Amino acid sequence: MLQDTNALALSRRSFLVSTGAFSIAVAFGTRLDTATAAAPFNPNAWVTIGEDNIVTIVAPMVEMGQGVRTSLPLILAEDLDADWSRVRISATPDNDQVYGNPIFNNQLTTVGSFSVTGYYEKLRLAGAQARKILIANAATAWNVPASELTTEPGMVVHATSNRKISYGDIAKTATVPNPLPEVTKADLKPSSQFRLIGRDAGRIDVPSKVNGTAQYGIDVQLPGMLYASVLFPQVQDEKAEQIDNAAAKAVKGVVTSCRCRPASA
Amino acid sequence: MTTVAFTINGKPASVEADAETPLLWIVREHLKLTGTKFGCGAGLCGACTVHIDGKAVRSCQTQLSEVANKKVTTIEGLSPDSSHPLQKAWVAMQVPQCGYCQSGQIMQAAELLAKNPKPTREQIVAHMDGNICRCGTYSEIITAIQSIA
Repeated sequence: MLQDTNALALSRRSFLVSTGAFSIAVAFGTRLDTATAAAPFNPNAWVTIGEDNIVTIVAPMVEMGQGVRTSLPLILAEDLDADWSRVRISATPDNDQVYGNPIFNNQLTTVGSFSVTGYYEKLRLAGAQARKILIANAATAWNVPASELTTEPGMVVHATSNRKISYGDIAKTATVPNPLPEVTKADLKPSSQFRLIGRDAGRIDVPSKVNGTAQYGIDVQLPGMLYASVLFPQVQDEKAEQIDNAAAKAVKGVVTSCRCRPASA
Repeated sequence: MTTVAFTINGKPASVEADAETPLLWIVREHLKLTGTKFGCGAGLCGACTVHIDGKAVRSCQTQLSEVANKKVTTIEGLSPDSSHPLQKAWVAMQVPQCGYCQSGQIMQAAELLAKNPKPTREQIVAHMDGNICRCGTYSEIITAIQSIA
């Protein structure tokens, strides 16, 4: 079963790679400076691959019930050719230049039905790039041309010599090329070969919504946390001339009251 | 302040609070069981539905003093591992959208099936009438209940 995790694929450096008519923000993995990487392996800022073949993908938008924390990683998984049963979804790092929505001025704002339309190409290219890096690593290990390699879910395949290697096994020794390989629309999988896009996949958030474990804003509890409540004027644009908070402060547990500036709460 | 002892999801609990504190806040704030949601706070929406001795109640309209020595069940206690037939049906039918009301929906439906394992569609609709879903998942809710009824 798919799960949300809080594992972050944090990156130290990011840069833009031109991809024809499209620009994609990609980032180095965290182990670039080591000659041989050890799993977990970050081929780019979106993907983390563990030795256990678990592929963790950043879901860049907030789930509000439309299924984007499933659909967006699934779009990337299509061109990565990931085994969907081994995909986990991670929280979004606070980096709008890498993870922002291209159709929405690269903001990390979940709004207006822009999530799938805005991210579709960006995520497919990110998946294709990660796949290209895995293939390059397998090609080096086997000393064969990358052009002879193909993938099936979670595996790089060399049909000529009848060899296969899982993404997790590649991750054990994989390195990230510098610069990252360019990817263009020509690298994307033809829709006739889709294994995931267009098929029904259970939403990852649903199981947590039938047993009380889904966390909403109201469920976050922090040490010493206070609750704020806004008292609005009854007529728009009215302002309080004076505030008598004596009765409010007399209520047990009330710490203080204050005048709010516009648009703050 | 008063101390009230009751059973929560099969385990003994003892809570010290004002006797009139709504059960909703006892469950969420004192017992840290946040699956039960605050919706309207006025008994109008059903998001806060829990069971007291098997009966579905609005926990925002139930005072702490009313649950003394009673058995309170929340969504977290409906089954140990999400294996209640309703929970499985909810996943199979992909019922929730935002999901905020669904703990209450499931607890309301569980009361119905406990007393009437084979409800008709009309009985389902009548029983679920007070639980509001802003996403409008009503047809999925009815279908999910029908799938195991």
